[in-house]
Amino acid sequence: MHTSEVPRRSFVKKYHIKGMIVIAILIVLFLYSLKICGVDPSLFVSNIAQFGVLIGQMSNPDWSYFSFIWDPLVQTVQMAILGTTIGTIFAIPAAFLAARNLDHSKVVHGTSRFVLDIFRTLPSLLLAAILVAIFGIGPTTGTITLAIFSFGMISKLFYEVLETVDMGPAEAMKASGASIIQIIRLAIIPQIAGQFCSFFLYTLEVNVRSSTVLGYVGAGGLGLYLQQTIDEFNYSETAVVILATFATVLVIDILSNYLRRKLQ
Amino acid sequence: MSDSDILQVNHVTKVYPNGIKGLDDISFNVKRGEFIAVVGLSGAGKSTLFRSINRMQDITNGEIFINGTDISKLKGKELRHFRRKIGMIFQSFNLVNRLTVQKNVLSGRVGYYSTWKTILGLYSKGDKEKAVRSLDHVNMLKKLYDRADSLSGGQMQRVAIARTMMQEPDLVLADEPVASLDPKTSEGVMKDLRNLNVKDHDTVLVNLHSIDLALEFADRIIGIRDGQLVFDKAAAQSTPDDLKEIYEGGNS
Ligand SMILES: Nc1ncnc2c1ncn2[C@@H]1O[C@H](COP(=O)(O)OP(=O)(O)OP(=O)(O)O)[C@@H](O)[C@H]1O
Ligand SMILES: [Mg+2]
Repeated sequence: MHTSEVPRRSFVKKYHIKGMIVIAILIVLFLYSLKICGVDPSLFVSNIAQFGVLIGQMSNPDWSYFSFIWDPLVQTVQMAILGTTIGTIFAIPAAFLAARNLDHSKVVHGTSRFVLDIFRTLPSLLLAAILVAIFGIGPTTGTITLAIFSFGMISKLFYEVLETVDMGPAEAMKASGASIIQIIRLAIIPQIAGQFCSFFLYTLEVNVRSSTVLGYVGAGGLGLYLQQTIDEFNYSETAVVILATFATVLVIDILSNYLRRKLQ
Repeated sequence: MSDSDILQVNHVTKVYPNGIKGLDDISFNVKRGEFIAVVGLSGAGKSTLFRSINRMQDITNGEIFINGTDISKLKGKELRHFRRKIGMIFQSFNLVNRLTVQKNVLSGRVGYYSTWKTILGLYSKGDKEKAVRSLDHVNMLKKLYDRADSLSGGQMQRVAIARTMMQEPDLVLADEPVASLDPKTSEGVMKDLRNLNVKDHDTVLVNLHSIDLALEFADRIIGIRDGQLVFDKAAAQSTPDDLKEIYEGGNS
C-alpha cells in the first residue's frame, strides 16, 4: 500500500536557525548600546543600598499630606476624562476618512493616514512641554496635551475597527435607497459601537496614568506634587502621592475593565 | 416598449475598469408580474446585470428603462428614491448581525425616512406593524426580538426577504438567494420569493445555479453566457437539456 510522505523541513527550518540568529544579533546590539551610552550595570548593583534607604523612608507615608493632594488628584482624573473625550470627538471623523474600505478616494485616506501618523509620533511629555510654552502652566495645557495624544491613538484604533466592518449590510441599505449618513447610522455604527466604547475606555486608562506625570512639566494635575516632594526630600509625602496615584489608576482600570467586559 | 413592461434592457454593455466585459450587448424586456430565473456559469455576468439594473454600478453602453424612466440619468435623491422601489436579496443575506430581527426588517424602510429620524432611530407605529406583517409572511415572527446572528442561514434569508418587503418594491432582484442553503431550506426560501410575486404582485428576477429550482419556480428562464443573452424561453417550454446547454454550450 502507498502511504503519503510527511513533508520534510529543511535544516534551517527544523532548528529555527533564523530565529536563533535574530536573537544573537539582538543580544550583541544590546551589549553594544550599553557600551556606547556609557551605561554601567555595576552602578545598579552598588547603589542598590541607596534604594533601600529610600524604601525605608517611603514606608512611613505621611497620611496627613493626603488632604493636600485630593484636589489635584481629582483634577488629574478630570483632565484625563476631558482630554480623552475631546480627542475622541475629533478622532471619529478622522477615522472615517482614514479607513480604506469606505467609499472614498485613495488620496483622502492616504493623506488622513499620513497626518494621523505624524500626530502619533509625538511623545505626550514632549507635547506637554511644548504646549506649556504656548498656553502656560496649568490643567488646560494638560487637557490639550491629552486631547491631542488621544486623538492620535483613538483615530488609529478606530480606523482599524472600521476596516474590519462587514460592508454587506451597507450595500444592502444602499440598494434600498438609504443615504450615506443613514448607511453609517444603521449598518456601520451598530457593528463598531461596542469596540469604539471599549477603546475609548482603554485610552482613558492610559491617560489617567500619563496625566499623573504631566505635572512634571507644569501641565497640571498630581505630577507637580510628585516633583515637589522629591525635590524637598520629603519621601514620606512622596509615598502618599505615589500610593494615591496607584489607587486611582487601579480604580480606573477595574472600572474600565468591568465596563469593557460588559460591552463584549 | 409596451405599457406592461416594467424593465427594458437595450443593448447594454458593461466594461469594467480592468477591461473585462461583464455584459456584452444584452437586450431583453420584462413584463410586470413576471418571475424570471437568470441562469449561467460563474462569471457569466449575472450579478453584473443585477447591479446595473438598480444602478449600484453604471453601465458603459446601452440603456435601461424602468417604468419608462431612463435610469442612467438619475442622480442623488432621485436615484435613492428610485432604488426604494427595487428590492435586492443577496447570497450572503447582509443583515446587521448585532441588531435584532425587528431592527433589521425596519431598516428596509429607511429610504422613506429623513436623515434626522434615522439618526434618532425613530420608526413610525405603522412601519413597526408593517414589520410584524412582513415577518409573519415569511413565518419568522417568533424571532422578532432575537439577534440576527442567532439565526440559521435560511432564517436569515427569510428576514432579508421581510426587509425587502418593507420597501414595497415593484421589482425584486435576488442574486443567488439560495446558493449557500441546503436543498430543503432553498425550497422554502424560493416559496417565499414566489409569494412576493403572487401575493404582492412584485416582479422578481432571481439568479439560480439550480436547474431544478429554475424549472420549478420560474415563469420564464433567461440564460447568460459571457455577458450575452443565449437563452430566453417560458419555463414551461424549457427542458433540463436546454438549461444544460446554457452551461455547456460554447465549450463544446
Ligand atoms: N468589480 C469588478 N471589477 C472587475 N471585474 C469584475 C467586477 N465584478 C465582476 N467582474 C468580472 O465580470 C465578469 C462577470 O462577473 P459577475 O460577477 O457578473 O458574474 P456572475 O455571473 O454573477 O458569476 P457568479 O455566478 O460567480 O456570481 C467576471 O469575469 C468577473 O470577473
Ligand atoms: Mg454573481
